[in-house]
Amino acid sequence: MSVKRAREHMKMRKRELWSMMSSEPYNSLLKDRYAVIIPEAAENFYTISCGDKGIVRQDTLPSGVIFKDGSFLTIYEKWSIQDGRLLDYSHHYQVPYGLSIRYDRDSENASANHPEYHLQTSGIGKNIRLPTGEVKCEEVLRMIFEQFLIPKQL
Amino acid sequence: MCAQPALKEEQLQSQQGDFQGLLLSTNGDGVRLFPGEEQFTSAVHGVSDIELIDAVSEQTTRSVVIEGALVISTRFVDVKIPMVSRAELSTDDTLTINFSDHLNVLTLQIVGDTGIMNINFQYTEKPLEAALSSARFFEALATTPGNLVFEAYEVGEEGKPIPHRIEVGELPLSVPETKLQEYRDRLRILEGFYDIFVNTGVEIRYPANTEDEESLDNLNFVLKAIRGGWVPLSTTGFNTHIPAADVRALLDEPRDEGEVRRAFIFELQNESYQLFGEEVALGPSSRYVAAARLATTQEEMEAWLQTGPENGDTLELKWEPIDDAPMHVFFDEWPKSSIQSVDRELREFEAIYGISSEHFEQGWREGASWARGVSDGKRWFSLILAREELVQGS
Repeated sequence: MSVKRAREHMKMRKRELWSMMSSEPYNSLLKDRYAVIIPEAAENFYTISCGDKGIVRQDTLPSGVIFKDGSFLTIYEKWSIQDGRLLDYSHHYQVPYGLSIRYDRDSENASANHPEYHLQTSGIGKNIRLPTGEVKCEEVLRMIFEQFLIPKQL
Repeated sequence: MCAQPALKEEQLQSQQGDFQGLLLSTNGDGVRLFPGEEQFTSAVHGVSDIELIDAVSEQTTRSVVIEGALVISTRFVDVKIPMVSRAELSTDDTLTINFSDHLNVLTLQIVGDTGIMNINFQYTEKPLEAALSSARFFEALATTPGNLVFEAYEVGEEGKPIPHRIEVGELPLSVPETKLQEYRDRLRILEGFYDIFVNTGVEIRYPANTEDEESLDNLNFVLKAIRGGWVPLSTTGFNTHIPAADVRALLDEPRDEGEVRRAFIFELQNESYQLFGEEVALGPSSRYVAAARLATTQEEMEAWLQTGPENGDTLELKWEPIDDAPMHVFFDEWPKSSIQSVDRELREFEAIYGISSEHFEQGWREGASWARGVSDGKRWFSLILAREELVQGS
């Protein structure tokens, strides 16, 4: 593997996210109409992240993909270069002083009560992990746009 | 770039000149550019009987120059900046002490025991790193509780340096909030220049001409490009160039509400920007507009066709965005990924969680609950692995 190859994969992934977020009707639902995506390439994998570091709480200042209503999504993905698999992810949607939804893959702690791919939400309690399949960032973005943002405009 | 274009999409090669002069480049969060030099006076509390007076009194010249460092001493950390101290005793025995760096970017002067400090800074055209270092130091002087100390070294027995610290006064200095905001804007400008310098190698010094609005707009654009790779722009319009056959086809095209409408993707080989006399090259870009209407009239197109254009001739068409559709500019090459960028990310994690990456890595590998409980531990650990791979690869 080479970092050069990782950088090419990384660019393609960045383009996919740019493409979705710059197209309508979604783009006009973004605050300032853009988001800063930070890619990092290694030899065998690359990561994509969006949003400040640190614990996301109800009072955390918005960062990452910031939506027009002030809610925001932080993104983290780790991709394999060898087979193009999504190795790891963690996406946290937060409404300031309100709802939070977090999609995670947690392979190391997986058990019957702790699904490897799971969803946590403040709506039912953060200690409950609902099983999901693998969820891609675009699906989370689409869910936020369709479930939370577009209905507010109607 | 658009995954599901609502309009017919055209992909064109283009150049920066087709957009220049038409872009409304302000993006809302731009910095302001204040003059790079200023002189003002601040009260400084706790000015002690400066010990230098003893040293000066012993000199027949009634002045003494000592090389050392000014130190902002806080409970947790010391911030230092190399300084020269020049102390002079006047005929009426008033002691004046000047602290200045070697390039005279920042000068602090204390006259007698008045409790007044005269501060002067000169960022304009000074080497970038020196100006940035002084600007950061000044911000700490004005905002950080602690003590301002002058630290010098005497050569002791056996040539060993002995540190000697002289208390200058208490911090923070008294600076009006409006002034403080101006200094912060200067610091943001210098930090922006520094980001450009480390990413592109182009050194831009604090400009003398603070009225250069075009450069300031370009600075906002370039910073967005190198920090995030994606710059949305408001645009009043842009140009495309088409041959006669395509002009005829456009004239025959059915109109949508009387208009020709398109989505556009422009590929540009290189974008470069003038910033205060320096050129910053950003490399290739793609520009995307989701919806634009043709502003060139049918009469103008017909009139051009009647001039009998030859093969190779093109007509410049003017387009306007529909419903204020922005122009999205994407730079594939930005932000850069490198060992340096990984290091920068790691330092941010360390600052947030207050532990070193080495300590975190050890805890994570051992499965320690404190490490596994770090909210974005996976992201941190991935960066540590990325750094290891990058170092091995290089």
